[in-house]
Amino acid sequence: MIDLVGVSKAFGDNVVLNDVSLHVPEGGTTALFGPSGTGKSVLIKHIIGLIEPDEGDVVVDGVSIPNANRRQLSQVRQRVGYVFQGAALFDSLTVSENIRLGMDVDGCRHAEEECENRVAECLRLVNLDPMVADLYPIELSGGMQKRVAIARAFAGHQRYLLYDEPTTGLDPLNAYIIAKLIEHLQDEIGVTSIVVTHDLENAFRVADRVALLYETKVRFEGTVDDFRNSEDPVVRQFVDPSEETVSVA
Amino acid sequence: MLAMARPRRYYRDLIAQMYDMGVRSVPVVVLVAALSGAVTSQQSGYQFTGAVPIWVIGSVVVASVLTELGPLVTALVLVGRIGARIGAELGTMVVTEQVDALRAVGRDPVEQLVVPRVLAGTLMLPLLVILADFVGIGAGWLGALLTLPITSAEFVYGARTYFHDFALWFGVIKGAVFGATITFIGCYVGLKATGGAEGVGRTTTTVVVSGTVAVMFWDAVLARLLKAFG
Repeated sequence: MIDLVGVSKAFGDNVVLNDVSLHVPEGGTTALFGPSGTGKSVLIKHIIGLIEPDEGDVVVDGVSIPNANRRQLSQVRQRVGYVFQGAALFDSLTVSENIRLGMDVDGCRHAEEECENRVAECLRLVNLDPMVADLYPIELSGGMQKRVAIARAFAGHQRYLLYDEPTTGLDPLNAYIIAKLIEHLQDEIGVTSIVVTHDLENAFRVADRVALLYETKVRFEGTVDDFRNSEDPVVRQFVDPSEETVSVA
Repeated sequence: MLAMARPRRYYRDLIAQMYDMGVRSVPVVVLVAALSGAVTSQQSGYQFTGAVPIWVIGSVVVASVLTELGPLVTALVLVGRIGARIGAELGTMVVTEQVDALRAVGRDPVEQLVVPRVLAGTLMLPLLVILADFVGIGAGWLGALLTLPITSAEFVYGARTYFHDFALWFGVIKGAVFGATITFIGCYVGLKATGGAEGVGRTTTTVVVSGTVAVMFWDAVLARLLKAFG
């Protein structure tokens, strides 16, 4: 279970998060919406301790991330897979080596054959040909890189997956493929996921819960149906962006 | 120190970095060392001929190359070749979130990126300095024989008159200190990179400038060591 309790974060004078609380229950997928620059990525980076809150607490499986020691933090990070917006694959490593990095802190502790089998399985789960295992990230398309990044994120049987705008920058077809992949992984390996996205259509396909981050606070938190039917004018802007709901200066 | 305690996690990177910093630097180090040695013998010959015994050129070349030119010229060349490369590489990894990705998979960037580079620099620079010493002295000797009125016997006599063991060790110590300094600055500045391509460019410049200044600083500090023990 992931809980953010009263989290505040500012970079200089720029307050990004102000007393934000969010509860992510075990199982299922939570979509995190919000206008660009509202701190969605900042919020999920708190979960694995890439950013420390100025105030508040972030608790993952009972471990307070801001107060965790190195060992605890490392253990939490091995349970939480993170898919970066730009894939963030290590360009000096092959696809196979990138995926192995996600398996455990010492790389592959198991027999070589076992590692290769796990890499092949991860590639199969993200619909990539096993032949790409020996290629370098630069030799892959943007969509394929995202899929490898997803494979790396769950290669170590992580319990949680955090997706930072997984479909941004992709064409509609590749965006659809990635969304289907997230849905498929949810069904097949049953992880708890948080998806930061602007892509409402695909988010509604994969998510069962929605949170809306707006002007430094969580404006809405609930099910997809509650979000769709909300009367909150801010929520309406996202559900149905039109001239009636959006005020343009 | 804690990050160095588990070599299993970084030994492959260490070997790769040692190869890159050591073996791949050989051509440029040999070229620069040869030119330094040759220029030193030429300059000495120009200034000393007729003023002091000609065999002094052997002493000057060996003393200059072992204590100063070998380590210093090697380090200054490698500030550009190694320091700038490390700064640009790690800077790019920071701005493309690869360093965050390392943290996200539970790895320590210091253990994975900094330790193998700094260790490789500390181990390989002394070896390159020894190579530069041999090449520099050889080139100085050859240059003197070809252009000055000196015989091999006179050059060797001058070299032996100066030579003492500590001068050799001094160059090796300098090499290790310079290697650690260059790679540490490359890593530190690289991991502090911000922004995009412009930030990486700024990082590279900072590494070269601060690396050069730091090497010169250590050179001045270590000169006191030579005076104390030499």
